[in-house]
Amino acid sequence: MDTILKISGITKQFPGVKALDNVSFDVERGEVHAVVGENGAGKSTLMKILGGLYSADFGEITINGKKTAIRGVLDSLKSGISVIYQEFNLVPMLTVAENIFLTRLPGKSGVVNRKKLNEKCSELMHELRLDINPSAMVSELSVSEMQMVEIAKAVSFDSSIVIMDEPTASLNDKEVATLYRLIDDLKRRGTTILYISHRMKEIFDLSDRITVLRDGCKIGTYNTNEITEEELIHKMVGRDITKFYHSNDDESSETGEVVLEVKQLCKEGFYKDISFQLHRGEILGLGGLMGCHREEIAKTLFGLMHPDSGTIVLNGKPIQIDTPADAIRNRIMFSTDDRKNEGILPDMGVDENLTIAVLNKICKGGNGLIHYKTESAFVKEYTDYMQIKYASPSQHILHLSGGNQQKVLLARSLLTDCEVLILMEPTRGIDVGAKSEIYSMLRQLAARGIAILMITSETQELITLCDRAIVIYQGTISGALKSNDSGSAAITEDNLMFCATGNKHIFYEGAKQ
Amino acid sequence: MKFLKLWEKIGIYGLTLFVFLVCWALLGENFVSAYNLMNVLMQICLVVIGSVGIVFVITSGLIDMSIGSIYTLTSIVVGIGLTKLNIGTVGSVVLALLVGVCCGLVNGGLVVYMKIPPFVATLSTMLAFKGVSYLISSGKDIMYISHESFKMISSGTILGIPNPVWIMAILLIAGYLVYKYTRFGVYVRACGSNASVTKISGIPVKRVYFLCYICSSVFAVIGGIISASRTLIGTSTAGATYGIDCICAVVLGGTLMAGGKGNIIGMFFAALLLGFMKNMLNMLNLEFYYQYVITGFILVFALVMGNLRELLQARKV
Amino acid sequence: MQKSVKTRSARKERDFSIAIITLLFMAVLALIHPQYRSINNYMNILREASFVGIAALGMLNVIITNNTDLSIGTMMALAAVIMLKLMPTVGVPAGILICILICVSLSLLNGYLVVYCRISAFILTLGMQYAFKGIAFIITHQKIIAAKDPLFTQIGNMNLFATKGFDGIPLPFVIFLVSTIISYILLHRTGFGRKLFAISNSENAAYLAGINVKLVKLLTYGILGIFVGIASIMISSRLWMASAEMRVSYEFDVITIVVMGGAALTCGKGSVINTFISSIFFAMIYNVINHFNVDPYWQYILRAVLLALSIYASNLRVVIRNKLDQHRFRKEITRLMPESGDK
Repeated sequence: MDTILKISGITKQFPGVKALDNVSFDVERGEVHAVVGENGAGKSTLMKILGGLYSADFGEITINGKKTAIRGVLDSLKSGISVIYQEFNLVPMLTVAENIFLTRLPGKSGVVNRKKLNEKCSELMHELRLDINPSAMVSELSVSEMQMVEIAKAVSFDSSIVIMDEPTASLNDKEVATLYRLIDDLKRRGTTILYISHRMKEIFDLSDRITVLRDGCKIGTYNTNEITEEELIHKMVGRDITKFYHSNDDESSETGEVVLEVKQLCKEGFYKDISFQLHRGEILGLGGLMGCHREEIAKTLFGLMHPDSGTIVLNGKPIQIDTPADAIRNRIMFSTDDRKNEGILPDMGVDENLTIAVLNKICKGGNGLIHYKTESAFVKEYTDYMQIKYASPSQHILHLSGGNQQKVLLARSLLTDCEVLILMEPTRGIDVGAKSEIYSMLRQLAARGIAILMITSETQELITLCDRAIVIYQGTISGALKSNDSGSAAITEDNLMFCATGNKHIFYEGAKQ
Repeated sequence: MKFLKLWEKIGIYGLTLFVFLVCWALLGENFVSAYNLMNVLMQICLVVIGSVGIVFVITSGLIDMSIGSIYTLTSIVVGIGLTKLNIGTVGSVVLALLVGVCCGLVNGGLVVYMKIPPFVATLSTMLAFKGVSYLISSGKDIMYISHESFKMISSGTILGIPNPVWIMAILLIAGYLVYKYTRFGVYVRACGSNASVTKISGIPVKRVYFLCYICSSVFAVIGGIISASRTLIGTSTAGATYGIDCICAVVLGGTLMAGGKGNIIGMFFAALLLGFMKNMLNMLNLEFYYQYVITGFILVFALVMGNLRELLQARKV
Repeated sequence: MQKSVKTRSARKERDFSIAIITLLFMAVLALIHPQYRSINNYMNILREASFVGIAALGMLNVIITNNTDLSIGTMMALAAVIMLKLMPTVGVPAGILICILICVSLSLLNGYLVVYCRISAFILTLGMQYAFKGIAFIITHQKIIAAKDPLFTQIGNMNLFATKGFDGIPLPFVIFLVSTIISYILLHRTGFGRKLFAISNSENAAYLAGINVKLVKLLTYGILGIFVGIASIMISSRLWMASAEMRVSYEFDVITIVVMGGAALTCGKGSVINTFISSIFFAMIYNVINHFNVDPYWQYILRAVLLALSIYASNLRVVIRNKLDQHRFRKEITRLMPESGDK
């Protein structure tokens, strides 16, 4: 038992959510240790703490038996840890060699010995059997090549611990094979690897042991050869049903005719052959794990991306959605997951935030003089309906809690009288109380006849809120589940995870394949 | 698309060549005579020298609007050094350089410590330095015709080539070497390309910013010294368009406004292009102001061409 | 059930700093020198304020949407030059129309290149500044073009409601005032103004809300063109002439005024009223300099200091506010912590 890294009692709190709760586990020297969990389980946060980008609120990190304080990226590097993040830490306009050796450029008294720099880099590339030109500009590399540069950087620091955060998220099969080889090389050098992923195949191919995180807590650490994929998936998702996720038996889940139909939507590099139907009054969930590109599908429906081929049919008529304004005109509305940067207007009041998407309702042509009376009426009506707590309508939106802000954004969508509502992570970063209010709101909206397409990482939401759920795996539809399905295609945690990891493909009877 | 890639690589050189040929065609032998070409080089010296500093500033993601005023201030400082303080040519030059370093520190301080956006900060210092010039000269011009040694800076020749051209060549080569072959050069490009990643990696971004501003100030001072040496008058109205001329040459030469990619050789060719134009206007006896129009149009043209790729891809995604 | 964090009272944290500074300045001056108790002097100040202030009203919108236009000075000169050249032939009303049309077209050209061709506003308008100056020079052959029509010259020089002892309210100021009111309504009371603020708050959020961000930005340039045209008419009328180099550094003055009025160049907040007051403050400084025979050169330093200080002050305000928010937030978070760990 040669423990190189010991994590004890790490806790990290963010506004409104506890990302990590007393997480402890050991990592042995030289092993490949996988860290798995659903979206939001806390994996990335833990890695950022080890990498020095965040600092834990409580807890200790022990490396090689010595307690280590990691207060910044340099500390982390010095302790022998290298992290390869999903968003690479590379400088686009520098060459590969410059990026790798940025803080250790060879040469005397400020002069860079370019020849030596490129030689050192070539050696490194050679060692790792990579085919990347040291003088190539990083901005011109493919994603996979950039990742290899990051790995090379880690190797060049002689790091004893290399952490990889979802490394295969944007790689094709051939590139994944190269990654496997690199990991093998690292192993042979005695490097310890922490590998974050949710892709079962890789986890079982590569890792020696697996630690499972769920909702910020450590569930357990297991030897890879002593656990099956099914068991692992159970551990990742299984939880006690909490009382406030009540089932929707009592609400009538009558769904009407098809309001939106998507046919054979394809976009190279993102999604392929996406076809589904959205019915009036139904809540359709879009499930999948990080990197499956379901966000891109939703964005395409709102004009933020354009598909290479395929059609979108609204109420029987094919439509072209080039910009969000087009979508809104077609009564499709979108609620972003990035509240802070794409949702709220931070320096404006609650009322202004509410009505910004329906300016044509409070003034002539969307540009004329504002009818404040009409605006106040709308504001009162919708803030009452959604039970938004605020001091006064003109209050700065930033002073509202996250939950109330989200409600404002939802109300903004409702004001547009949309037929189709696309929601991206509607309850992210929101406390429990507000969440349940939003859930009942959504059910009411569906009952009113609005068709809702919902992307969420919370499996419970998919299970209890959605009438149907489509699961995306690597850009294609890997499963279609129905709530309360009599067959085996019910929306359950297991089914969702099986489809999301590509393990199985489950379709309810009658679902189009 | 391939044409665009080609343009990005050699556009400015091709354009300069084109203008050169046009001038030759229109003006004949008078244009390509050694005398005239040396004349052109002399004319562009000042802008090239100042622009070397600006290349570093823009590449690091910042901007410096104040070099025009620093240029002006230099002529006054030198005048005071020569006439009132009587510290001779060398003394005055050293004094001016010190003043330049101070100006650079002021610029750096405003941007780094007071967190004022570079455009506004250097806009303020442009005004401030101009004010200081007026103040210390009391609005009057300072004449220093009698200082022979100082005059030599601009009128002397070595091996038949005027001193300013030598200075320009040395600084140009030095700038290029620093940009390409020193740690500082790499850091400047890193800061301009992605300042936050650079900072996390442990590079002293603040220090880089300060050094860049000191660079631009000092180079502006050198330009000012040469100019003062030529005109032999310390006047508060010199350098009105210096800042803009330099920025134009830098951007025309292929340095990206956003930072991360500088092009010193390109800048030289851009200055050459603008120099050819001015020369042509002179020889055709056209007034000086025609250059404004042509410079403006060429700049706009170069900018549009530079963005063409983005434009054509705009509809995707 | 989580309540909202305790609030600050009003939404529009009206920024009174420029108003307070101006009033203080006026008070101090009035105490020091009888000239500053003379209403006629203030009328002069107001007239001077109008010449830059009107362009500042237009520039405010452009800066709010994260752009700039450095070419308005030479644009104004060029339009004035062309207008005065043609005026003897086409008459005053047509001349005025031509001036405004020129400014609007050039401004829209700038806008198109900046917004749709995504060229950096700064460097593009810098280049345009050059081009306009050159064209103006070429047209005038470096000479001044005189304004001859008496009707025209009234625009910049006329005073209204003059009585004994009171010279009257300058017509330019009346125009400025009316423009301010219109700008105020446009920016603070219409849907279009909302769109501008939405874009300045968060371009992404505005785009997702269905706002045609590009078109709105283009229109801000168009509106700027109108105001620059008016300024051009007023200034050339006041000076009885137009030349290629009239009012050098005009654009820097205008931008200084907008920035001093609180529209921080980064996250454009903006207020028409503050811009209005800022123009007056700016004109007062010039007046003081001329009056006390201060070395006109001090003005440069003064303007520089004002510009830097106003940005620093607005940064400071934001920093202080953020710290206060964080502190308040931390208190709330510890109060709420037992709730949020709920499973």
